[in-house]
Amino acid sequence: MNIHLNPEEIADATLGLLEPERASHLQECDECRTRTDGYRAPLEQWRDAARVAAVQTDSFWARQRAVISVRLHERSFDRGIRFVWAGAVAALVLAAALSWSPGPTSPATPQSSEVQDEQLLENMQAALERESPLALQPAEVLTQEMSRARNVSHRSRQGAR
Amino acid sequence: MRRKPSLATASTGLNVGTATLAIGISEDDFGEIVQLNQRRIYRLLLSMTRNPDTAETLTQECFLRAFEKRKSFRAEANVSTWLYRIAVNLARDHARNRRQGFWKKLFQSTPAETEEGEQTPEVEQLSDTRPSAETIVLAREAAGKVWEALDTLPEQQRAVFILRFIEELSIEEVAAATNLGASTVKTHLRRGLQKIRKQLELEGVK
Repeated sequence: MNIHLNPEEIADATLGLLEPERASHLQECDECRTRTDGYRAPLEQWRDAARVAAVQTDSFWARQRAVISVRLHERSFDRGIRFVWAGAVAALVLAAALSWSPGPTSPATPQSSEVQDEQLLENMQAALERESPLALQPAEVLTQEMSRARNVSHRSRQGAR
Repeated sequence: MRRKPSLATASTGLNVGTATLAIGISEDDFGEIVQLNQRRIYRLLLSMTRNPDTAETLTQECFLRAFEKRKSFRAEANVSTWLYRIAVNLARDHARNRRQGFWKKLFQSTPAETEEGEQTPEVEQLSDTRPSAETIVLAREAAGKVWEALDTLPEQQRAVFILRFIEELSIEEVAAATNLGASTVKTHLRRGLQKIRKQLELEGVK
């Protein structure tokens, strides 16, 4: 196709978006190439300027790598410190939880007092049923032993007669 | 099977068609990745921020972020495209923060904010490579006008333009680096070029 490129196509040619069939015209047509070059020239100068501005010495890049490396280690260290702190806090919480002993709980209290009361009642009942008080039990045992021994000797005397 | 990511340059292109897998990057590979990509990431960030100190800081930040996310690196793009994406996001965040005034306290004024008539660093360095005084003046003028025109573009359009022209990425690579569709990238490029042409014509740059 020998029709010259329109402004949109020249813009596309500058951007590298031109259709292949129109690109072939551009290669053959000096007029269209000149117009496209006019579009491209300031952009190429701008690109070159930007690229030259970014050129740095090898020491600049080496220093940058060193800074990146240091900052990476710093971040790892900070993360490590945070991990240690988190671990320490967790350990403290765990220790506090383990050392904390709950006081007598309300459901347990009536149960134990009931048992105690029942035991006390049983003891009182037993004490009442006993003829002598608990404190005099040894004397009572001794008296019983003495009377038993007396009965035995009395029976043996009667047997001898 | 896990595939080792390509550590090569952006010219290797996207690994289109491969499964999207989180293949990760080992710590040993990371030093090599920094060495291979630091120049292009710095160049991109310098073009986007136009401040050498900011570009240097953001380049470091880009690799720190990449290191943190290295285990989630996916095989759908090569490493340099993945780094470009991180850098574009950083530059966008930086611009947003600067607009909010936060970064003004941290960084000095950008070359765009220097007094009228002062040379921007890139133009100064450009002049070193040009032998003819007339060429220097013309190139400086043209580059400066493109920078000015570029400043008027929206953030995303500017990123697309820089990735396409300065980094010379393919449309698919620009799309991957900016997280846009290929057709959106083309639209951004066409609109961007239109605005820049208009600005250049107004300024009398042919």
